[in-house]
Amino acid sequence: MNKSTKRWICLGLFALLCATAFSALFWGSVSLDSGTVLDSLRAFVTGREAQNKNLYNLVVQVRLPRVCLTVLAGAVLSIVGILMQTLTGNPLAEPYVLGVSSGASAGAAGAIVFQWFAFLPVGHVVFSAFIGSFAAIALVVALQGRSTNPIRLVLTGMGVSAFFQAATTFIIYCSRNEAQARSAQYWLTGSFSGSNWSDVRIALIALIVLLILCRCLEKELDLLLMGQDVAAQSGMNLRAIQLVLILVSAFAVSAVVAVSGLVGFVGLIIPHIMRRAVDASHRYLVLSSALAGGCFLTLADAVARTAFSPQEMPIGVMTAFIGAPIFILMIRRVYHAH
Amino acid sequence: MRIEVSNLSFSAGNKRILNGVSAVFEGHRIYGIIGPNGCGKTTLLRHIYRQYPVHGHIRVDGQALESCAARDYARRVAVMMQSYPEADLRVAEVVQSGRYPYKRVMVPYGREDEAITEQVLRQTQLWDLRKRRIHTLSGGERQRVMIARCLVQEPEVIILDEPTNHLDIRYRLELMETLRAFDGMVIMTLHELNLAARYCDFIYAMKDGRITASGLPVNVLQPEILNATFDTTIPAIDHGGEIFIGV
Repeated sequence: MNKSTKRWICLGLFALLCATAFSALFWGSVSLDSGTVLDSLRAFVTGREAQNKNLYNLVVQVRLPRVCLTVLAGAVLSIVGILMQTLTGNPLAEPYVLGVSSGASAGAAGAIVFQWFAFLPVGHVVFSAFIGSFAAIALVVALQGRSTNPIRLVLTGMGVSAFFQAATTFIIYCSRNEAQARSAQYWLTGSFSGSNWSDVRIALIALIVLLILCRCLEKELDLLLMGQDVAAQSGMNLRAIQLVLILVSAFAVSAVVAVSGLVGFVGLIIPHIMRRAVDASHRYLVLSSALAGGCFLTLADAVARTAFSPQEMPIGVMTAFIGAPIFILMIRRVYHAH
Repeated sequence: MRIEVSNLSFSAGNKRILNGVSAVFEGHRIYGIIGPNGCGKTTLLRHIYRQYPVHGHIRVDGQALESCAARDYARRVAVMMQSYPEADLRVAEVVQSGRYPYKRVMVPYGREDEAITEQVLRQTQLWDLRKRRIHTLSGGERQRVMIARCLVQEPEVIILDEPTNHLDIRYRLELMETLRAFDGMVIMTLHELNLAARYCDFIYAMKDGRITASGLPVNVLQPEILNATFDTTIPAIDHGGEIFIGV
């Protein structure tokens, strides 16, 4: 496959993403006609007064931030999936599977219920989530060591994940506050309901950091695909690169988990498909996975919020229904290969 | 380039794997290390390519190995490992990644790297396969890709760990011819004594973490040395200066 084909694939995915995001604005408990949506968007961009103030608020303060957040979260989760797969040399690695999301979730729940890191002026929930996800990912990488056994990694991740999910449930159980306790489900299954623009800003920062990192460390990431020993022998500073990847992945996961809870398997499915469809090397893999991941999560969220309308299904349920069977198939293949 | 190993010992757990190994590798020669499984051949190589810390027991051109910068060392020494990448990269991508030690952080591979990659791909008859994913190649072709990756690194030394395993006779000979044509030093472990006899300029025989014999193939590949090294009876025929080992 040559460069221009890959570019066309990315362009096509971008068009698909725009179309999905735009049509997702129409989906929800209140159905909207295209005139209202376009008018609200025009009013949002130009700052003019909208014709219908209520519908404007629905579009601009509820649906638009939600759609933006699903696009960004899908992109971030897909890229983090790639980074973890490259870091561990294992196609089964993913923030949810390895317990990194659960670590972030425990940290975020702790920040809300116990006011952890409340002395920070801003972002104490994200910071606490970051500490949780960093602990989880450091634990998994340390326990894996130089072993390249993919099944061992997944089992370690399961253990770490079970521990942090128990911690999250425990923290919520300790909560005296009814509203906090009710959000238990939110932290364990994920949801984009109630997304606002400040959530979008957090996810956007995470995405920008990831894209910059992938661009700057393109050679290093590709070299890691050759195996850690080869990378080290080629003169790469293995420990430093691993540390940077772990820190940035943990930060990105915690940013997404803090605004959307646990959404699993996105980082597993999307890179898996894109690696076959586009390339295993990082430049176009990262780009195409980010676009496809945004598209996928937006679509999944649109279905989750309309299928059982007026009730919402947690988005984590949707992604697990699609992701878990693919995960099982991948395990079968990896298991046979070893 | 001169690599001098002096009195190198190494233990894993309480098992002694290397026991006071001393050896010198220098000049444009092909060095073969032979010995039974578990004799410490691979471990010795891993020390030379810095997978294990060497604590001052290896010097390169008189300089302690650990004081060489990893990147500088990678420009001089290329290694072909026993493993292949798990990821399904394309042939050209794998080969080009050998240019890594020459690139600074954040500088992508450029024209010069592409030119060298193309030249090596043509030289190793991989040009037609350059866009293939490596998992679709045969074992022999994949081996050729890994050798090409070493050549692209433009090293002074190539280190290979049992490169002829799993290869049929054609690829074995092809590999050895490629190494013979390489303008530099080659250090490799070999199971196949006939290949060692035919292609190596110097041989170290190892057993139980020690070097038991060293010298020209004619001198080392003698029945009494081989029998002691491998604990078995190996007939070797000296056919007018060329050794044949009947196994």
